[in-house]
Amino acid sequence: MSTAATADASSSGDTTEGSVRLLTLQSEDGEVFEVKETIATQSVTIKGMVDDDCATSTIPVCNVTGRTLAMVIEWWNKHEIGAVSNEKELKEWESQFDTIDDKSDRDDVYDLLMAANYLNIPTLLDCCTSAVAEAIKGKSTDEMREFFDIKSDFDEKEEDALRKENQWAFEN
Amino acid sequence: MGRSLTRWGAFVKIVVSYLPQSLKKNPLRAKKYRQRLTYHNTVTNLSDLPVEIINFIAERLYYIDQIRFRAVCKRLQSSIYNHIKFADRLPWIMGYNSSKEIHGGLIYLYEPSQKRRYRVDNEILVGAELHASKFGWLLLSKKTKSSTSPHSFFFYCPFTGEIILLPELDMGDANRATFSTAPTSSDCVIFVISIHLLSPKDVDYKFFVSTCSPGDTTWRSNLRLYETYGGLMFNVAYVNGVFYCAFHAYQMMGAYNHALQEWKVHPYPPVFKRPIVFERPPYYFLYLIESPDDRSVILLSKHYTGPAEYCLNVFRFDQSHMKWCRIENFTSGYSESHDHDDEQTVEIENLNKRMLFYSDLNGLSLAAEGEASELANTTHGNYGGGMVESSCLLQIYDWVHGGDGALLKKVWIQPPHTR
Repeated sequence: MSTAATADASSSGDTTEGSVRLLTLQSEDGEVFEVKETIATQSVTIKGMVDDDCATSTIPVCNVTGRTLAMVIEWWNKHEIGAVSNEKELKEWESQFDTIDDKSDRDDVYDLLMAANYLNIPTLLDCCTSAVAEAIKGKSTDEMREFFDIKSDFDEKEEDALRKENQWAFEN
Repeated sequence: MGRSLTRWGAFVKIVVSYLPQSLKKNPLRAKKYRQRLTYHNTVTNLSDLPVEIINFIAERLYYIDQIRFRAVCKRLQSSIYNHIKFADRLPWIMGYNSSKEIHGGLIYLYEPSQKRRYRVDNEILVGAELHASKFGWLLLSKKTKSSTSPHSFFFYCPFTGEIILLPELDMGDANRATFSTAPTSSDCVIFVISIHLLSPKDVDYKFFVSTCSPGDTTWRSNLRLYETYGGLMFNVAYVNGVFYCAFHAYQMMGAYNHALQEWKVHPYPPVFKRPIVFERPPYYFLYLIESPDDRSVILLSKHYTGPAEYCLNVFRFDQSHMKWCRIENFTSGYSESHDHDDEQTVEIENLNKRMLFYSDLNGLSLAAEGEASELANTTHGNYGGGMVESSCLLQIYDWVHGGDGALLKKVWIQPPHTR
C-alpha cells in the first residue's frame, strides 16, 4: 500500500508531507480539508477507497457538511493512536457529546450520526448512539416525545391498542 | 457479509457523486446535480434518522425503555426491528404470592435498571403452579378435573401476555419441569420428571421422564424406572441436550440425554459424601445453574453451618469427561470441617467474569460485562419468601424487599428476545 501511495503522488489532490500521505476531502457545501491518510482511514469507507487506490484525487463527502466534517476530523485527530496519553483523558474529551439537552447539541449529534454511519466510523457511531440512548433511558413515552420534539401521530384508538400490548410498562 | 456490501454501496455512491468538471463551472446546475445525488437532507429530528441508526440506538436501551421508545410515533414503531438486542445485563425478578399455586393471578416484575416494580395480572395465572422461568417465558401447570390427565401445562410470557397451550399430563406427586429453548423456537422441548410416591397405581414404574414440544397433542413417556431416588428433588436444568435433576436424599445428580434417550446418575462431588456434624443436623441446599456458554451445568451448594451462617461451594460438571471441578473464585467460607483428602480428588478451576443467579426454580450464569463488570465473580440467591442475597457488598437487589416484597416468592426472569 505504501508503495502505491508514492507512485500516485504526482496525481492531483494527492500530496505527501514527509512520509505521511495527505487525502483531500470535500464536504457537501464545498469546503476542502486535507487530512493525513493514517487518520482518515479510521473511516472504514475511506480505508476501502485507499486500499482500492480510489483515493488519489479529491474525495467528495457529499452528504456531510463542512461543519460536521470538521467535527469528524477533530474526532479522528483525538482518536489517532498516541494522540491522547491515556484512556481517561479520551473519555473525558468524548464526554462533551454526552449531553444533548439543547436542540443544537441534538442536531450536532444527528449530523455526526449520519456522518459516522455514512463514513463507517465505529468509534464515533458508538459514542453518538450511546449519547442518544442515555437521553432516552428512564423516560416515559410522553417525556421522550417532549424531549425529542416528536409529535405522536397515533390516533386515540391506535395509542390505546399500543399501550395494551405491554400495559404493565405504561402504568405508573 | 451483508454489512460490508452496504458499505461498498456507500463507497460507490461517493465515487459516483464526484462532480464532473463541467458542472463545477455551472454552479446552479451543479447544485441540482448534487441534490439529486444526495440521498438525505440535514436531519433535525430523531424520528427522521435512517432505520439503521434508529436500531443502533434502540439496541442500547433497556427492554423497558425499548417498549416506551417504540410507542413514541409511527415511524419509530415501524423502524425498530422485532429481534433486536437490549442493554439489560442483570436479570429481572418475578415476585408472586404463593404457597404452591399463584394467588389471584397477580405477579410483579422487578426491573433492575430503574429499580421499579411493575404489576401484571392475568386470569390464566389463578391457581397455576410455576415450574420454570426462562427466555422471558414461564412454564406453568394447573390441575384439571379430568381423572386421567390431571395437569394442564402452558407457557405464559408476562412481558407480552402471550400464551402457548401444551397437552395435559398425568404427573406424580413429586415433579420438576423445565424446557430447552424459547417456546417460540422450533426446537423447544419441555421436560418433566415425575415420581409417583403416594399413589402406586402404576405398580411397575414410579419414575418418569416425559417430554413434549409446543404444538404436540400428547406427551411422550421417554423413560420409566422402578427407582424413586428418594422422591425429593432440588431444581432441574437443561444444558446442551441434557436435562439434569439434583436429587436430595440420594446425593446424586440425574442426567437425561434427550437425543440418546439415555439416563445416567452422577454422584455429587466428594465434599458432600461425609456428613458434617453440628449441634443440629446440618442442612444444605443445592441449586443447578445453567451455563450454556460453556455448555456445562453448575452446582451451587449452600451449607448452613448455623441459623444464618452458610458457606457456598460451586462446582462445574464437565459434560464430556463426566467429572466435577470446584470453581475456586465463587467459594465463600469454605468449611474447615470438610475432608481435605476428598477435596484433593476434585480438580480446581476458575470461572472468570461471570455472575451466578440461583433460585428454587432457576439458575443463570451470565457474563459480567459492561456496567455489570463490577459484579464479576458474585453470586445472587433468591429463594422462597426470603431476601435476595448477594455475595458482594453491592446489594443490587436490596430494593426488592420494600413493602410486601420481602414476603413474595421470587424467581429470576429475563425479558424475551422476541416480541
